[in-house]
Amino acid sequence: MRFLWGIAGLLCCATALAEFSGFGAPDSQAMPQVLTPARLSQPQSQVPASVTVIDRQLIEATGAREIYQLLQLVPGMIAIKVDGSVPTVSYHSTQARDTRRILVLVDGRSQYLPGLARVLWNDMPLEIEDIERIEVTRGPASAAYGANAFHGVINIITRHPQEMAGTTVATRHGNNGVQEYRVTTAASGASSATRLTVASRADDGYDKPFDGEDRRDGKRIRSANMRSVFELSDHDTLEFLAGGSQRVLQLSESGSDFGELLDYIELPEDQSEEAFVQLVWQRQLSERHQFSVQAYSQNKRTSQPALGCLKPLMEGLPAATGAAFFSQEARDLFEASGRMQDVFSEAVGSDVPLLTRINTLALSGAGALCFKIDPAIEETRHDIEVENTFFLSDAARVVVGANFRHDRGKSETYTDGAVDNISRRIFGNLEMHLADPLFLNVGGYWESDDLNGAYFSPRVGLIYQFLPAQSLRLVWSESIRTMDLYEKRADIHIRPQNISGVWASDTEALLGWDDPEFFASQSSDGRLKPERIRSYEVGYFARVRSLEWDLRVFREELYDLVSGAINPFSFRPDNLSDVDIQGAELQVSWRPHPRHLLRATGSRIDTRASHPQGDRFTRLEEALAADQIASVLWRYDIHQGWMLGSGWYTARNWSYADYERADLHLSRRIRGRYGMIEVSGVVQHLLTSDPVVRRDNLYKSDNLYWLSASVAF
Amino acid sequence: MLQGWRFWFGMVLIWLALKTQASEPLRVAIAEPSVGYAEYVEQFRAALQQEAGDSVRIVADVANAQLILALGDQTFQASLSSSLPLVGIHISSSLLSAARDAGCHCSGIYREAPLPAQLSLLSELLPGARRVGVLLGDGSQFREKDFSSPGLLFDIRYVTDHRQLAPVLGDLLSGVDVLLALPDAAIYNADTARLILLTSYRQSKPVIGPDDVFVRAGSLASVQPSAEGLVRSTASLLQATVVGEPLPEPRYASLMVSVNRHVARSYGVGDVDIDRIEKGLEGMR
Repeated sequence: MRFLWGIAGLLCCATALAEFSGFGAPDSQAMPQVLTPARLSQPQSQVPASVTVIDRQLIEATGAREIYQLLQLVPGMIAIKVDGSVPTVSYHSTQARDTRRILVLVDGRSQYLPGLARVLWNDMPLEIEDIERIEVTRGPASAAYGANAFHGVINIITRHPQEMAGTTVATRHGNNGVQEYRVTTAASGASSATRLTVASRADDGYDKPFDGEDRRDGKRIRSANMRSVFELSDHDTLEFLAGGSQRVLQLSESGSDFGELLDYIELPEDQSEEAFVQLVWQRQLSERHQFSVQAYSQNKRTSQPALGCLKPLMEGLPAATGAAFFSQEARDLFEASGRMQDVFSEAVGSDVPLLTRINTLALSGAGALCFKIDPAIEETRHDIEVENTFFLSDAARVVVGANFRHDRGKSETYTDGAVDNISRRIFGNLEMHLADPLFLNVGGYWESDDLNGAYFSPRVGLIYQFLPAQSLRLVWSESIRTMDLYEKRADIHIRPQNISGVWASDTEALLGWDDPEFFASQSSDGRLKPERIRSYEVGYFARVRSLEWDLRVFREELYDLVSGAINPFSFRPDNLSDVDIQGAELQVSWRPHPRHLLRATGSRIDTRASHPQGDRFTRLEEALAADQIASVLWRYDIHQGWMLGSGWYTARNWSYADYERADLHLSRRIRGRYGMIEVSGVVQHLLTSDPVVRRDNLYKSDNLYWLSASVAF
Repeated sequence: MLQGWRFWFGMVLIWLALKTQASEPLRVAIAEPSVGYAEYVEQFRAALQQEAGDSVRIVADVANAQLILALGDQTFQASLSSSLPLVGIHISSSLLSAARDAGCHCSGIYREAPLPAQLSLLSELLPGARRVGVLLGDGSQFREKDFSSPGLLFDIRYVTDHRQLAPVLGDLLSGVDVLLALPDAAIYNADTARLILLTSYRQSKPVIGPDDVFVRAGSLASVQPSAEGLVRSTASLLQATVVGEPLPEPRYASLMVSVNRHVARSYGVGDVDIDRIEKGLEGMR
């Protein structure tokens, strides 16, 4: 048949007919090409890393009320409250307070705090209900994200405001002092949308008395966050995000650095305040070229205020003798002891000036020295990044970008003033289809900062995609953790505040100096180098119908690790710890039936630490390592809005104990003409009686439960 | 005897008249299209003339026509007031059904693919998809009762106010594996394409349907009538038309599959054998 239009003509006609049927566009060009090649990401089968995605289906199924708990669904990841109410989330865990070896991003904004190198999960101004998805890259990722993506990246993506409407009011109550309130409201216009959430959360933390002392471990958090999106044109999108939080954690006397020295008038608390603003502009220059700029500023202040009076040095001595800890003579002896606490302790009994000072204090009749103490640090970050994504050819896509960052840590206690660090970074990544079925991925991140110097983190991945949805990958990568402001510029001075009475009027006579400080003081020599990791990985990703699995076999060499103590009494960090981690982990997702979803993960990990000085340091680096970690989550969407979620989580030989927990979650969602009501109940049952990591981390009840209700209108 | 002769003479005249009528081509006029589409209509006219051969004569003047062809919903609707029989080409089934219910002397070739064809494509490309999201509106051809397929669970939401599209879509996508987009100009149009496709991509949920225009914009794939099939089906319907008798029943055109290979790659869908899938769809008209 000799059609005039041929194949091209046929398409033209079909498009024109589409117009006739009411598409409303003047011609076919009016339909924008939305998902351009530049916007689309690689399929998971071609990603040169192990990735775990936790979407809303899984988030809802867990019934979790705190974000960190969701990370228990990631193979090889520990997510637990280690330090009282402060969660630790770490991949292939090493140190117990190991929040410093993984990078966390919320909508592209780093949660890693530059001053004391930590991620504070409690304080994020973000509610679990506002999360769209969490993408976890397991394994070193500095080649793509820069320093501190040491052992991986947790990328939290919040819900787009356009996809929400109206107002939701929610509350949650349970045992363990759980009390939560949340209001979320969203509004959309023709080309803009905004979401705003304000919330408060409180619980008692570990609440079982330990050694006869009540556990002061509760927390109260108030937060607000907003996200606005403006569609400036078909090619330009502008986002504005802002938020902040206030948090108070109770601290027990024994949990405080001054627990043994002070009679508290006001018990210590760990307080935090933070705020951020962020702008993101994304432009589609063409279907094969995308450009984006992101800038954000954030500020956080953490402190541990306490009010108390120093106890006497020994029972039976006058109360004023306790002030000797803040005397010039005690400081002199500590300096003469090489700032080593054990040497100082041995010398105290024979140091004449100090004994004279104690005698003076004993005879002064001054009473106890009372003061407020407030170790605080303010951490500020300004960050701007540009990123370009474009195609070199049909088979090669490139991402290149640059970043400029200014970090400031300001603390009278930890750094004796402000410390600044400016870093400059450039990065690039090439995805290349070499030839069927081979894909190559090469990336690197070069960065230079004022405190750590210049470093380069590379990654090379070769992917053999032998079936459309099945691939083998070989990945070699290196990452670094740069030293934080404290590790590089620590200068510790603990100064009492609000001294009154004779202590204030005659300080020099009583304590030997005008501006008294706690005797222990430390400073950094600034010579610590970044920690490093080198990783070798063989992975197998496959998707067969509704069954998907990812197997990762790995060897990770961590070296130049900083393991030693870095507190006012002991500050002896070095770069001499090494850790060798080998193992395998598997994650499986399966939807055997439209109403059933199963997610299972398992890891077997062998962690071996070494240090020239032996056990003390190696124990430190193995403190949070578990031999086996596993989780199973099953979601059953019953009928008419009923949903049952059931979970099981375990960590074997973890911190010299076992952990096992089973969860049950039942919810009902009722949709009506004017809105939706949702009610749910969750029970978390501890199956092991071991304390969680630390001896005093115990709950009164093996069952934690809470009931939630929300109304959306 | 005389009466018998008259009877047979009359029968011969009737036979001759019928024979003459049957051999005359059906005179068809194509309704005036929207501004800017005369070129495409002219191409369609030429292709139809070639396909139908001598059985159809396409005339320019409606006054000389025995039947009117209308391309697209708007032209079809505008032509409903005509006293002549009306055949709509690439017409939404809901519109055609409503017009026939209202008593029009009309028929047509649907613009949609049959639902089993879209579901077949969905299962072919996304064999792991179990939960299928569907948005229905006032202009939708289907209703909730139409959705049933072994191994699939349909989550169906109604959108009657375009301001609700974004939140309903966002909520729907979070609980399904794929969005099945069925033709409905009120839901799927050039103004909503960006919202729908970006929302689906943010949630990593591919879109199947509603047509090849959407596929070029970012939908994973779609089944729709091929232009060649529209011409062939139109010719076939016209050839089966007898003036003065009811028009043949509406029908689906032969189908074609379009796939966005960039989107397919991003969702890990391998090379798609379009010919094989189209062959499998042949029996679904």
